[in-house]
Amino acid sequence: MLYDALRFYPGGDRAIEIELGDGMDFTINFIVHRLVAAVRAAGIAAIEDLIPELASFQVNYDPDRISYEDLCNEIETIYAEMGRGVTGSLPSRLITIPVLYDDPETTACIAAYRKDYPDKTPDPDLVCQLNGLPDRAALRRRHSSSEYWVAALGFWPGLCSLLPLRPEARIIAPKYNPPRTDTPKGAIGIGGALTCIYPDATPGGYQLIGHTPAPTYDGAQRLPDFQDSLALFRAGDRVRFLPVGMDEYEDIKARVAEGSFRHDIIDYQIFSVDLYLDWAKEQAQAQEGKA
Amino acid sequence: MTLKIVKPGLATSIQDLGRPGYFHLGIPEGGAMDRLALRAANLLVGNPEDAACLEAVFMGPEITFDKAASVAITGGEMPILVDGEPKESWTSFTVEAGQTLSFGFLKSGARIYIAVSGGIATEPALGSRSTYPIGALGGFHGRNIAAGDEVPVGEGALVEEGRTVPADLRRGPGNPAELRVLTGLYWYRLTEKSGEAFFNDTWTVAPEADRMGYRFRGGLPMEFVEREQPFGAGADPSNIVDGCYSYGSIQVPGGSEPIVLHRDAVSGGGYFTLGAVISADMDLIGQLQPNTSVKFIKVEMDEALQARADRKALIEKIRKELV
Repeated sequence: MLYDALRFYPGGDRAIEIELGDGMDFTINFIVHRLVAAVRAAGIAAIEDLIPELASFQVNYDPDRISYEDLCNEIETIYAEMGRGVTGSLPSRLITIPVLYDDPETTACIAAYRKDYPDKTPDPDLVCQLNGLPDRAALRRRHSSSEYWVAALGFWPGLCSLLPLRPEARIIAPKYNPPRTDTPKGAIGIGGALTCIYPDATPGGYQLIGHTPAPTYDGAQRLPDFQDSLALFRAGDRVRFLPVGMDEYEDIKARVAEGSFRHDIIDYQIFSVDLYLDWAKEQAQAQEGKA
Repeated sequence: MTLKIVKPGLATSIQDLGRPGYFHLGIPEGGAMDRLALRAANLLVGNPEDAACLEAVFMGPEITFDKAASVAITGGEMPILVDGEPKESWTSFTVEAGQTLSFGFLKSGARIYIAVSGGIATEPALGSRSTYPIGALGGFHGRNIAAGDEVPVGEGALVEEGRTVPADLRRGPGNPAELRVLTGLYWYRLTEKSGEAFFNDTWTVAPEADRMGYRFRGGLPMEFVEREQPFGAGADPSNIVDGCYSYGSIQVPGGSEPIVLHRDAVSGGGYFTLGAVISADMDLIGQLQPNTSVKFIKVEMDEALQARADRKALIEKIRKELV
């Protein structure tokens, strides 16, 4: 739900948390990115970092250069000038991520957790149960049936939060409680309504369903696709998951190891929000008709 | 010159004032946990205030020098030895070529800063030499130092021995330590009673305390205002739709044990945060040992800004003493 007005909260004396709404929703997230872009374009010198999130964003600022109240007022003014509604087009790269579902690495990781917590249902089975999917094959089909929107980056270097753009591809899952102490680099997980790709071996809480050998973060900038940035994704990119078999999975792994792997990135595309929202509405109506 | 690491200590890392501005990629600011101590150590040996030092936690390293250099150790109290001969903390001294710097057992605080004239001269990453092992950034090849490492040091002139920061300008946590907090962020999720209890309770530092965050135990579990959880937030009332975490923000997973996020913290997540420790008190957290008692003190924005100004004035006084 989009709030009627922005809500401002101090995050200490050098950060402001600005909430636009609540819920994991494409429309709110798109407005978050538009507002963040407008604030960035305003070039307010005291701002040190702008961090878009799903339904909110954070501004890190220098309180010696601008007061909390003045910065809130500036952002409110920018929001008012931006106009409401979700419309327009923006450049949006389409990045294809190869994925081996039910791969050995995440399977071993799930088994290790279940040694300590034997009552935990294995992740893919739990996700199937909670989403009315008959078996793991159906989960693979649903998960790879949609493009995903890069709604937010962060938490860990290069970690992305992905929202499915096809309404019926929505999959929900609870997070681990307690969290895992480790997750394989490249694991693909679902938490809340989001998919993520673990950029490195880190603790985590998302339900694991597969693994990609293609890196999404390269701190050493070794691979050619990381020359400009340590992180593969930018907010507003779209991601497609391409199921691969073991042979291709191993082949990609080998090419990553020797440094010759290139990501499949299509970067000439324009994403029309109006067309998308019309289409999503039709899709949702068609699905209701079926049900 | 190089510092030959004979023993690395527990988790000794290269730190400067960090790399602000990359939180949107998930890369934290990082840098020294106790910034005042790092600045003072650099000033004592004639370095720029933001030069890279070694930050050692709980246990000091053992380092052999291949050339003479001025050295100063600030932060927590840990006996300092040069070839077995004691030296004063917060005071410059010379280590001659071939001599070895080592440390006794920690007496107070948690972290020491080792400044060497010329500053640590490893390759910077995103504008900083600070070690961020999770992202393999900065530090010594992206990691903490290890035995056998030869850490490069820049060109620097020797300064006179015995330059010192007067005792009244040094800072460490009291007991109980007091951490001032600005409420905000998702404070509105807590009941009034629970919010009051957070400030009335005495907390103790848990063993899970590192550069990412400090966990606290001993207070009452939090109570949340009832609501229908928004889509995607998860069933637990301590969960939110993923949001950003600011520096110093206090997250409470499961509503039981608050964690103050520090220099190497993640940039966001799905746990509610009730506010943040003010920037002036972040250094103190870096000097807290496990089991220390802590009180959180509620302050308003003007008090936070005054504390920030006082901190700046303190650094200015130290500068005047030493420059």
